[in-house]
Amino acid sequence: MRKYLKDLTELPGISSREEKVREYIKSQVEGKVNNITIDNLGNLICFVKGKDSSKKMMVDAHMDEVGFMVTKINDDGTLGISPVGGVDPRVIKSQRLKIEGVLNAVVNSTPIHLDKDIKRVIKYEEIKVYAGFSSKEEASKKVNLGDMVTFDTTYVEEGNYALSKAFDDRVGCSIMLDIIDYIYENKLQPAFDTYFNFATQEEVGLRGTGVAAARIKPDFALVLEGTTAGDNPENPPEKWATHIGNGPVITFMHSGLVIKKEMFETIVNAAKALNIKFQYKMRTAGGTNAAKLAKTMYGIPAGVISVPCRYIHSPLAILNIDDYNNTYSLVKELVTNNERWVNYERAH
Amino acid sequence: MDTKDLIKNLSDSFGVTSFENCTFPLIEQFLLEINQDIKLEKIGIGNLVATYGQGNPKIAFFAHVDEIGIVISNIIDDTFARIEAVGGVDPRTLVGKRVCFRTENGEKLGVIGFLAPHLQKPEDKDKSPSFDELFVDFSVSGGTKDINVGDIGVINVEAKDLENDQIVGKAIDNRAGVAVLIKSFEYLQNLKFDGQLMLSFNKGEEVGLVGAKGAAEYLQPDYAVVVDVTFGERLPENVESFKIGEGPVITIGAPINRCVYDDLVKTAKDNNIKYQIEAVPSRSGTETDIVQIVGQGIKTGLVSVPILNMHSPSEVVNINDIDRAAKLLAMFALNMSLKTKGSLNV
Repeated sequence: MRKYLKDLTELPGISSREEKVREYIKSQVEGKVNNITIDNLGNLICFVKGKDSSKKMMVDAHMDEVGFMVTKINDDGTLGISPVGGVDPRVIKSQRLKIEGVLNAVVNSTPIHLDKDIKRVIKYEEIKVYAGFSSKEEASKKVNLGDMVTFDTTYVEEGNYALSKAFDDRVGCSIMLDIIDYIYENKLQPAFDTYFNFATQEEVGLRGTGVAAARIKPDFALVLEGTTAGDNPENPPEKWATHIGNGPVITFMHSGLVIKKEMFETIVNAAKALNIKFQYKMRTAGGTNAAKLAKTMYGIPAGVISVPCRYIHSPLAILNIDDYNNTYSLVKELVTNNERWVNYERAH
Repeated sequence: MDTKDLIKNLSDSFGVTSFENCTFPLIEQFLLEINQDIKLEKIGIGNLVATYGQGNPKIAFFAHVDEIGIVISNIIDDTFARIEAVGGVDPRTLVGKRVCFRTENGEKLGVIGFLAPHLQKPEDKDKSPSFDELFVDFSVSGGTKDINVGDIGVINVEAKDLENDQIVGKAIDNRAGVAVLIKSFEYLQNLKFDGQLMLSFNKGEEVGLVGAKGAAEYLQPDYAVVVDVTFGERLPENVESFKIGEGPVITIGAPINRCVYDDLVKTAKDNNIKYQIEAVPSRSGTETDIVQIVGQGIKTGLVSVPILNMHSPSEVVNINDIDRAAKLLAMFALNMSLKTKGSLNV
């Protein structure tokens, strides 16, 4: 388990440029699932036949990460960038970046000797990315407008913690891959006909998953996420969204959606039955693909289960390995055990 | 000696002010690779001095070895700690970075975390955190149980190649200067230098020119040339700006002896070494400010390597500037020795 997490987080893949992540995932699931589809938006849909084919379950995690796009090539050979998804400009001063996953670059940072106002936030309008080019002409030979720019971060795992970029939401992708492996290696079947959707374009407004759902037409869905923690010393505990180490995060409500009561209870009861540590998300800011699914087709009910992560949408996020393992156990239980859904089905 | 490998190795080495001893062995190794016939000693407060040749003139090149860093100022709980700056650190350059601390229990990796935008208050978005607000998260190294107040750290990044012979690293200030001294010694091997060359690798510049004074007192050279870095950014409109890749910067001004400046410029011209000129009205902000007024006064010059993003983990240098500066220094030493011998013959 967790053997894909390092590779997944280190791959570059901003919204609409998920191809490297998609290829990697596809190469890992080939031969393990009944069918693989890549749709018009680039969603990778992996179908596994279930014990009960009267229902279709969709399990969803998004492949895209927040990052940047080259939006200008300056006369001096530096590059202007704009965020793809929500990246606070304060986390990128003097940061190391990769252009198209290959070219080394840095975010220029005026020396403190020349810019003494250390409270001032350097905004995207003034940020210049430097790859070593001295003119626009020279830069244009290797860099194009629209090129993908990502954080240059390598994965570290030590003790009970892992550190990397893009846990939002490669951690969800990783758990789906682990569950596909579990089902395949143990020659099992999921509870229902199950569609694992590796979604595109979540970070730019939940644009991928609805298209995938329109193809799948699921009865219900589980959305897996890497979610905010906020449990740091500058944030008083009453403002925390979650606390890493306290287990999988179960969402009752977030931006644009109150989770359907029976769905929420099904997830909570499964966690209780497994006797694992779990927590509720204490803040409702931020949304997930569940909000999109609720407004897709006939309205697809979805639950949200997340791994809590500190410092998401920055080059360095931290998660707790026990949280990962317990989230995996909880999702695995819901995907494979029909009994967990008896009450949910009775309500319909 | 490949200049890229040299500067990358030097920049990656841990050597925050007071921890220069971690970088000295690397410098000694590079010097001995060039010529075993060099005398290495630690003097005074702990500067590393390498002496080559004997007699007159006595020419000293100075470079500070220390880099800026951070220090643990307070342990908050079993996960988090607070930090302060060692030298001129812009707290904005620390946000979202990995940091590595030297502790008595080994190296400890931490993260300077930042709240995700989803949870931020709108009124906080317009200011960057100060040292009072920054914190280090030691989750990935077993928490703070092995961390003590006073433990010193750096931003944990490796030197990498950029396009066009440029290297980005955390401690180009002033390992670029260190590299220039080492490379100048290498160049000198092919020259008929007759005199004494002293390379002084100094401690403590970033907190106030601590090492250079003692070294100058001890060495009492006939000529001293300080090698440091300078800004490659656009400077205010009343001051000439420098470009990286356009050669070393030779300084003229109060903390520089005019004769040394003249000889450096003449050497550059005679040898077709591309250079730039910096006019310093009062102090240079480098070791020249103290070296020149040590004892009965020392004839002092300044050669700087222009870099980008000084005092950030993304300091950028063009290796051709290091090579040119090294060649300039070696030829300067040769010329001064020829000049001295010439005058002795009269």
